[in-house]
Amino acid sequence: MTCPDEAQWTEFVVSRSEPALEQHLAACPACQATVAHLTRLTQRLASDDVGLESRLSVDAVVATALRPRRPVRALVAVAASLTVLAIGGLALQGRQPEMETMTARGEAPAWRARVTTRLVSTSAGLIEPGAVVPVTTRFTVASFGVLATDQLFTLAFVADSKGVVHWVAPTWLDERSVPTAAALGVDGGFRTNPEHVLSLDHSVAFDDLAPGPASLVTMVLDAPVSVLAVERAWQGDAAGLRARFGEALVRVVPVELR
Amino acid sequence: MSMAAKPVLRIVTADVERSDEALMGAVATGDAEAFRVLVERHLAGVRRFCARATRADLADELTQETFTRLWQTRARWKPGTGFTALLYTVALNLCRNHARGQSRGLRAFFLVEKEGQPHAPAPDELLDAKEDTARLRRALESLPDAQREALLLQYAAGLDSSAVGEALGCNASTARSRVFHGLRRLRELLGETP
Ligand SMILES: [Zn+2]
Repeated sequence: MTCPDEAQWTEFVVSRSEPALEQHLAACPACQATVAHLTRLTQRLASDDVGLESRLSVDAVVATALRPRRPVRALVAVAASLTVLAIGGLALQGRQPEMETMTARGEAPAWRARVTTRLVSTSAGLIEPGAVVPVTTRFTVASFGVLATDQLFTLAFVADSKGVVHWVAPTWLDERSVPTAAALGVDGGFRTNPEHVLSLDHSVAFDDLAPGPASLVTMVLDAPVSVLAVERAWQGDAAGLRARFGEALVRVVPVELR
Repeated sequence: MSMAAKPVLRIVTADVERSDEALMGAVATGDAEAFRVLVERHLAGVRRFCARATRADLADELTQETFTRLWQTRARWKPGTGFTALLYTVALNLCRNHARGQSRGLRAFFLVEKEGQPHAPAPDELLDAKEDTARLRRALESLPDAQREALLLQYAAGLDSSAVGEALGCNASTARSRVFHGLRRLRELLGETP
């Protein structure tokens, strides 16, 4: 009895369409072993055990999919070295916001960074809670504080009264890509000047901000998370973001867009 | 058997009998309930596919994005096309884009999940299982793209040859041949004992 070769058995496993081979298989332990191995391989590909539990639920997937998203084309971003000058003025005026301390999870008081990031207007500077902000405002992100050696990342967006998220950092111009958090411009070593102010090298204006109550949201994290992960966790306040990104510093500034 | 159970049974049967294509037709007109049924049916398959096609820690984000885009582009649905082919074309493109992003050096494309990971040393079996998972991933990565994609569409996603072909833009027999060569190569790479 001549055994079919491995190619024939692979074909058999892929399409299950050769009754003649089945007869041989029933009587031949060697070929049974080959087929069993090939079948186990296909079963491993079909297994849900991919090494990490899913956090997704049907409810969450549907809710996220149905949530409105900002039209990408409405975003206007420009390189603006001018913003650095505008933000530089803030430090001189002594208007730094309160900084937060970032510590490694599970570790005692030793901190990794003292920092905060805030959305600022390139014309009016730091935006305080309750401020009335024109919908035509050009936003950028400024980071304030003493930064640790770790590379940190920041995300910043405006959530308008319709619940639409508009990204300032990172910018999101191309719908086919999914950008991640922007790196804070730290070039290694501790920054010891508490008045140190960094800003992004771009500013952003939107042509579709809905007037009304809005949230200016900034986050500092130690990982380059994607804008999608943040949009998924955003439920209108800081709590959802803190629950999802345990180590992140989250600042939500309520304003009135007009 | 109680008579009261009958109406319930009938409702369940009616839901089960609606084909993916019929549901997608309803989704195209904005029916969120029909969309929900499709998510229920295909969530696990899409996640499995995304996890095998990229990495386990990216699977949730790519799966979510697949369904988000399906909803956003619902109005472009053309009756007469296969639903699974459409769904996995979306998932496939997202996974391919991810791979391209990676090759440009954007390795940390998504957050690597940290929560929920055991801090205690894993038992030996768990390490073995992880090593197996890693070996399978490396073997899959080393396959030609066309073979890997066909193999995963057939086995991870559970598509038949014609749907695999439709998603990959080739005919069913080409799809079968890619699966065949992919499986042979995978067996060579992983050796005799899986
Ligand atoms: Zn034999």
